[in-house]
Amino acid sequence: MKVFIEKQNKKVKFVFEGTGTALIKKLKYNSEEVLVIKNGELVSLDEKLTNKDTIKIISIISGG
Amino acid sequence: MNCKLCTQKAIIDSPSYCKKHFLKYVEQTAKQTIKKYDLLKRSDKVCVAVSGGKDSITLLYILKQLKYDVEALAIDEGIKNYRDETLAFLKRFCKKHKIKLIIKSFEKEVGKRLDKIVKTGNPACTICGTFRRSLLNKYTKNYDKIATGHNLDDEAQAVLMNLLKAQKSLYDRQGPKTGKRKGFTQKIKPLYFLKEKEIMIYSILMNFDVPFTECPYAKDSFRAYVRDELNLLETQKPGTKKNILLKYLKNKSAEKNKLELSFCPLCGEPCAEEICNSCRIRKTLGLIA
Ligand code: SF4
Ligand SMILES: [Zn+2]
Ligand SMILES: [Zn+2]
Repeated sequence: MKVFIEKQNKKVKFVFEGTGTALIKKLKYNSEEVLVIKNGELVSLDEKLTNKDTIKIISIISGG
Repeated sequence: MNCKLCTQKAIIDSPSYCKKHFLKYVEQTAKQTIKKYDLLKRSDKVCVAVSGGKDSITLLYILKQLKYDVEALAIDEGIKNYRDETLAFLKRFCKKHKIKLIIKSFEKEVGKRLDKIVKTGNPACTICGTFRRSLLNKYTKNYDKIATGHNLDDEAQAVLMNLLKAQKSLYDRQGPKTGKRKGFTQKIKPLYFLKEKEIMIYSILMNFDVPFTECPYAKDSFRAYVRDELNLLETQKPGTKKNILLKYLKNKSAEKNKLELSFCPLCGEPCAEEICNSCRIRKTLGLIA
């Protein structure tokens, strides 16, 4: 799975299958802090994610 | 997961809504807050205090959609690598949506850019906030209300921060609107019951293209601490943030703020002491005699 973490401008690749909730937990985020974009579309956290998906993690928290 | 109102796929978990119903939910929530807390009258002239971030942009857009008489006021503090980009964005956004945008700068109004003030070791956010509040009030005299983009997360954090610091006076001053006080334009917060996450999603779905630059001085570690703890609580017990606000509003003393006010002899703005905070800081900085 390709994951782009927008805030840190970081690209990571790893094997993962599971829900958005599980992915967020694996990346040590809190569901109040981030959004999961799957192949360009915002998805709810119960969405199944597979190794073929391209994921973007958007941070909600910002200053001002 | 499907939308709880139709057969479309949900894009958000709680409440589970599809795109169309989520957008509606956000607009309805703002509308209900305005109605329930009597934030606006149809005839009101509203000034939206805009930073160019997702919250104030969402607020501006929704008030305009609801056909209120809105204008926008932005403060240019003079912060390099931050404010120029957000101001350029604001100009484009307001032009596109036919909203009048007024910009007032620290440089012209206060006498110095924030960058320069900070260079001599002054605390950025305290000074910035004081000057901003003062300018906001000064330039909204001919409006009925100032609307700000504070959301449910900001407000729940503020309640907790003030409790933790035992700042009773600030605690009393929160809520969806400030009381009417002579010399102050009333402030309202139509996004009071919308979570930061919901506003973020709204601004993405609406393609607002809000710039994500952050103020280089934003380092409120106490707020960040409260925010993280609150986010943890919210995931363990959904609804915690909203409950904090509902309980706060319930407990809020009905007693009106009886603070006696006078007016600053130097600038004419209302103040609680001999001269206003803004002029006091300008004096210490040597910007006025
Ligand atoms: S983070 Fe501080 S310095 Fe920056 S805009 Fe906000 S109050 Fe001003
Ligand atoms: Zn729906
Ligand atoms: Zn003054």
